[in-house]
Amino acid sequence: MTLELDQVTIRYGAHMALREVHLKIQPGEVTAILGPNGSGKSTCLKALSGELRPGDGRVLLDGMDLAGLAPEALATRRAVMPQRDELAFAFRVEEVIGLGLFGRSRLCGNGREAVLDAASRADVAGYLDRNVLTLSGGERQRVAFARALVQLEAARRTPGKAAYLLLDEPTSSLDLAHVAILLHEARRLVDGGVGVACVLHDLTLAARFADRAALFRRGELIAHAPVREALTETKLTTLYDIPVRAGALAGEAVIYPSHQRGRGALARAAE
Amino acid sequence: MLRGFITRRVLARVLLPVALCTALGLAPTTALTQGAPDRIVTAGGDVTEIVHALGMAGSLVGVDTTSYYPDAVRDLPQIGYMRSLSAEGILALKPDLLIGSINAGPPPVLAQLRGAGVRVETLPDAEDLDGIAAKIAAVGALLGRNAEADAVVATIRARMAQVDKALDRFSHHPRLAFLLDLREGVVLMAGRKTAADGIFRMIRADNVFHDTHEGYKAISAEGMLATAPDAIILMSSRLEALGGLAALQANPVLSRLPAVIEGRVLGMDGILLLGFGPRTPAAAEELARFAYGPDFAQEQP
Amino acid sequence: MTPAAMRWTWWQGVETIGALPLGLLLLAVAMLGSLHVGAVPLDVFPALKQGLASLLAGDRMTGEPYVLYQIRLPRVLFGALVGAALGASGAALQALFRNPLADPVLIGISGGATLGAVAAIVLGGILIHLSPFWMAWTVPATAFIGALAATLIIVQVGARRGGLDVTVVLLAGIAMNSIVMAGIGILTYVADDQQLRGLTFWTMGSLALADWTVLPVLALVITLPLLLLLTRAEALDRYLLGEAAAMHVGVDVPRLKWAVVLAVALAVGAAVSFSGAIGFVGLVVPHLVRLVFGVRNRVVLPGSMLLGALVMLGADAVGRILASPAEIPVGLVLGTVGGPFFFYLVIRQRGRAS
Repeated sequence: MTLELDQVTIRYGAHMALREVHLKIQPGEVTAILGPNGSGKSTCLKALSGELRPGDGRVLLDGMDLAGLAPEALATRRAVMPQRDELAFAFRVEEVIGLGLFGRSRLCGNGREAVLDAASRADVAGYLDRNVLTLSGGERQRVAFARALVQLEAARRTPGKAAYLLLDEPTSSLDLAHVAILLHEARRLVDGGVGVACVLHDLTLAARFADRAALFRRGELIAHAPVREALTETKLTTLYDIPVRAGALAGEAVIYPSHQRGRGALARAAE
Repeated sequence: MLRGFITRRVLARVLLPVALCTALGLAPTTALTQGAPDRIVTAGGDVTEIVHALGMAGSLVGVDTTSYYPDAVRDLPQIGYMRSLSAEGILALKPDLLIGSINAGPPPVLAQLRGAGVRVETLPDAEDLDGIAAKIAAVGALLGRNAEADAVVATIRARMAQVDKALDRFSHHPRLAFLLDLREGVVLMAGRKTAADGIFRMIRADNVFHDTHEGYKAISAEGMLATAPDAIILMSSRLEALGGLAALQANPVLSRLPAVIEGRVLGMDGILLLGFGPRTPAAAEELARFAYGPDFAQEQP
Repeated sequence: MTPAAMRWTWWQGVETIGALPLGLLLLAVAMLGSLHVGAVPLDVFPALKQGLASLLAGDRMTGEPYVLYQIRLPRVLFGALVGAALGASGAALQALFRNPLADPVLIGISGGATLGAVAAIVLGGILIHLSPFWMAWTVPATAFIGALAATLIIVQVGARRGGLDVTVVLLAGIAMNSIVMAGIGILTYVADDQQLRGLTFWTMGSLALADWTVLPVLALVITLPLLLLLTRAEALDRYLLGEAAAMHVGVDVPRLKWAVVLAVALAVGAAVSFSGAIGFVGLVVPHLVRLVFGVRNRVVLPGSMLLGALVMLGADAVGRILASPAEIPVGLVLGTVGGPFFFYLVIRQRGRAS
């Protein structure tokens, strides 16, 4: 039971965004998707969610090709938290979160309960009556997260089938406290059997929070391994093309770019 | 009181005019068994004038926006523009008969009126004296005023004959142009198949745009210069709205025309000039006097 | 259930069950009120009874019942249908374009309808004057074809791998309106005086063509797409999250877009073809509904239908009262009020954070 990319290639015109990528997301663990800008991280996530159709290869959910699945069926198996939302109308926060509900659950108390529950988990319970357009970027991200949680609730009730949560840079606008809250929630879901794939920029966060890491470079998946193996200084230095140092702080891994200015392999070899 | 008076006169004249109309082939297809109409609504300024000329203006209960002659009809209830009449508005006036010019409409409204039991008749179009005579005779038949209609037609023909006689003295034909409107730098001139063209022909003048187009079309400055009319005619209301002769002289399309420079421009009342009704001979006279100059004088009868 | 949950459910219940009958009641009252307005003085209820009696006895109606049943009643139903069609189409297009300033005129549907009608009036020539029957049907039919053609062209141009590119559609709408303007300009140039006057009447927007031969067809052609839109209300809400996000939440986006575009083309084409170009209802009515009831399409769509119908009836009543016994075309009344209101909306929109 996995969500996987099977030899997927995606092109934007002449540009190869993903090159024959083979990646499996397992339920019950967090896979961090890492890499420099333009390496195909977002494209990978979009392929996993079904938003982009591969030019070559297939995206499989439990062995079934996503292309053959209706959007509604797919929505019962996975939820997505996009980087940005495009809302231009003055919905109330509670209504936006409620959009993650399916069918009749909207109208009866269960739906309302689910919305309240998700809202408190994402720490937006105090904003339920607010006009979503008046919220800050971080607050809107938390609302989007709450909506994904609500959608997952319905998904998780399907017995025997794992659900997946896809997060695209979920912490980009969040302050420290909310980063912690969000990751804690994601971890809770994972413990309940959900498979999480998460695009991240913060390597320390990835080391702390993820189980596995998928490293992308120029559209290719160059490494997919448990975090301890994937996030080494050597691998990361090659990946980001600048010296990366990994250390420990109070027993926890800390990863950061070193103070030396990036010079590229040739310059470093000359030193 | 008044109604009884009219009814008596109508009944007295029913038989002879019906026979005449039948002979002329202008009899209405339905018999006048419902009696003369008491309450008449007219759609079209020319229709109103004809009703007035036949002495039935007292039976008018409503007129359209193009009816403003004689002055008294301006006080009558308005039924709207003759091409976009309102069914209920007309029904509120409880008419027996609606007489419309050929342009009266829209057709669904006329159908609704017929359905409500109102008699609706439209008159044929007129482009010359015979056409006017036919219109007047048709109204006369509808109102049971055939003798009056004949009298009016006779008067018109006589007057027009005088005009024709006066015109016989001239061998040349004045070259005229009718300006409908001036907007956004565009000049709309009447070609053939317009009322203006018709009245020009009645006074044996040439419409300089007769061969160039039908209806009203925009003409360029060069086009105007090429035709070089002797004089320009417009509706007086439009001339006034545009700002008078000065405005025409300032307009780039018209400013180089000799007719405009020398002020040979005439504004005439719209319905009078173009209505093709009882006053048309008077309009022809006025127009001819302007077009032919002071030499145009009619012999006194 | 927590108290908060219970409170919410009650309002939800009112929303889904209570508001609709209430709205319909309001509409019925408005229609009844409209029946009282007109140049002919008549008592509505006695006339209604009389007319019904005539109908059942198979007699021809005359007098007041005639005016009520043959002139006012079709007009009132007509007005409600056209108003509902325009209101709902505006709301649906605003959701489809995710822009509160979208309306049928913007993407060229109304323009296509107008061009079709103008073509019929000018080129139809003899056909139109053959009989009133032809006049009543030729123009609406060609206007309808024009609306559909415009929509299909725009959808084709804006089509992109299974969906619609909103920006391209908006641009295509601008292009379509330019073509329509040019086409109307050419036809106007070619038209003779009589045809020109006919055009002016038609383009002002009026309910005068309402009668029982036309009404059943109009009712069918408007009701079907409106019902379709109502079933899509929830999906449209999700669509407002963004195309990708909507797909994530289970919306079949390409299908939704097609359904909305075709429904709107049908409804607007029908409305414009029988009543001429009437503006502002599609733009203004959804705004008003959102101001009071919030932005969820489950409320905005039916609300726009009801309010659109009410606005149309009100404007028509005003047009019939002010110039009695003549009447001001409803399009003119709406334009006079709608123009300044539109300005106000634009100014308000300017200050928004989004």
